[in-house]
Amino acid sequence: MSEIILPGDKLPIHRALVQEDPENEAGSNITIGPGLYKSINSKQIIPTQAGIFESKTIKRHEQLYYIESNSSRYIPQTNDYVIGVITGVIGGESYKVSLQDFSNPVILSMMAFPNATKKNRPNLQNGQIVYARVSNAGNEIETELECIDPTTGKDGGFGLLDESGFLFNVKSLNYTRELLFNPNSTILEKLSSRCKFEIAIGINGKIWIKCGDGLNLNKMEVEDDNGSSTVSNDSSKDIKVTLAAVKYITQCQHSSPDQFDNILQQSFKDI
Amino acid sequence: MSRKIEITTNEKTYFIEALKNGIRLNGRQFNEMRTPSNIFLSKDEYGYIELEWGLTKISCRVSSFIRKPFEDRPFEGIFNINCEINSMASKQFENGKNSDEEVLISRIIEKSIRRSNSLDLESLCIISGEKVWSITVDLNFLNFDGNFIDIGCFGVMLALSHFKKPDITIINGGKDIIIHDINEREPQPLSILHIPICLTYSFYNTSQNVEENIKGESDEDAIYLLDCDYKEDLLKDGSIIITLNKNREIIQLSKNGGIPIDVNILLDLSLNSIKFVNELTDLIKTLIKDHEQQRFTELNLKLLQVGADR
Repeated sequence: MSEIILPGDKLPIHRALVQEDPENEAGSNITIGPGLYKSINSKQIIPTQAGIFESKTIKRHEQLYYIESNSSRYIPQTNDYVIGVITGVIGGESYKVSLQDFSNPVILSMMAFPNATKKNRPNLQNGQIVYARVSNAGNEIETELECIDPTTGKDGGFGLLDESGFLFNVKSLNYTRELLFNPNSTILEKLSSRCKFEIAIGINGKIWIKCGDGLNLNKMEVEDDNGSSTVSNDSSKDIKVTLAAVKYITQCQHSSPDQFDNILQQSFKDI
Repeated sequence: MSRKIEITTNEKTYFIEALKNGIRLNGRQFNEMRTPSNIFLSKDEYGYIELEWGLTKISCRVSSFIRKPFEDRPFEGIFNINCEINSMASKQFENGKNSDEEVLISRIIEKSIRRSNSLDLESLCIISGEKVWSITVDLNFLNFDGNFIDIGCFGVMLALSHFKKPDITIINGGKDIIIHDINEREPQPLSILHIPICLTYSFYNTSQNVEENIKGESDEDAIYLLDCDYKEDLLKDGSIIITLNKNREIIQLSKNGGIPIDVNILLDLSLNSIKFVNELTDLIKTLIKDHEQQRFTELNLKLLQVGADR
């Protein structure tokens, strides 16, 4: 079932289901995803975005409803995986993080790191980037991030993304979701045939990628003293590969799957 | 809401490392320009153009009216350039508020074109001390991807070359004038004396030791890029704007702070620039010529031509 919905439209869900409190209705648990809003007073589900209305049965008695849409502006939702840029410190307790240029800053508490205590806190500088999960998002409160996997209490892949990788933006948020969540997407699989890479995809439109060994800044300084040029050659190759990969990922955004091979070849032509 | 583009340390280190290895993040050579694309010259309106230069996009409109000249310059027409940057181009520019950067952009464009006398103001005079043409250029930036100055200057010159003012006849011994409708008589182009072309070079300090470079002791670390995009613009340590024309005349050199530039580099830059200036000047000329030709055939103006071609 899929249908194009505009904000304020009536949803093609059975009316009775919607008006009842979904949690209490036996046999019809509803989970709402992005683009939908449940009014607290009337208990109605209202679309807030334009897009394609999708419904999925996730468990036997549970329906998932969401609106698939494509936008460039990122609005934080709880449990989103994002890449944030540290832009400042608030009150010595938390970091101010920017998820997208020209948007409201969000908060990343210094306690929201694995093994962090009052005395042992992370030391992040302005301009560094972190991979984080949106732990709290709502209209009335400030959006919060955290760098812990809530199920294990470990880092779970979250945390500082180091400077050996390259960060770039993609326009379409739908594309980052496709890369991150669609297991059938062949884009990254195809890329892996050309180079070794490590990638972090934030669904706020930021992607961090490190091809090969990435930039190894510390190593280079040591080698520079001996005057050897081999290291800089290696680094130069990795930079070229990374830029080719970035070009490939950015261009795939506007192309159909049958063109991917072509773009890949074009991007890696000089290497 | 923040009005700043946050540039991350990752992007910065990667950019610098790439420069050290002779690579630009956008894949261009160090002195390679983006080429103007999607150039639109209006067919219905003289002096309206739109162009894209990479992702930067501008529109430019020339308009004219007749007014009394300034008291102290009775033989000269009036020429103004209005430059407007608003948040449509990029959110970093605030509406209705001129930041230092915006003022600088419009002043440099004005300095290159208006103060270099590229437009012959005396040819705009109709009756001295009474009536002159006033030419106004409105330059609007529609999208920002760096290098507003070069693109703005190119756009204004293209629009001025494209513009035509209505033909006039002076009657009653210089007391009155008739302004002929553009459909009645072929309008007249402006007399442009030379075409100034701005070229902006951005400088980057790749050395680890910043202080050393400020003193100007390690010249080999200074890297310069032509026609930077927005990211390169944010990361630059200094820039120089060279305005030249096809006659190999330097119209202006503008350097506003930033790291020092060696004299030899400056000479190299000026010499290298000639190539781009020739290219861009020729581009303006061919564009206008093609457009005229197209218009001539489309409107079948041959029918209206009187007399033999001289």
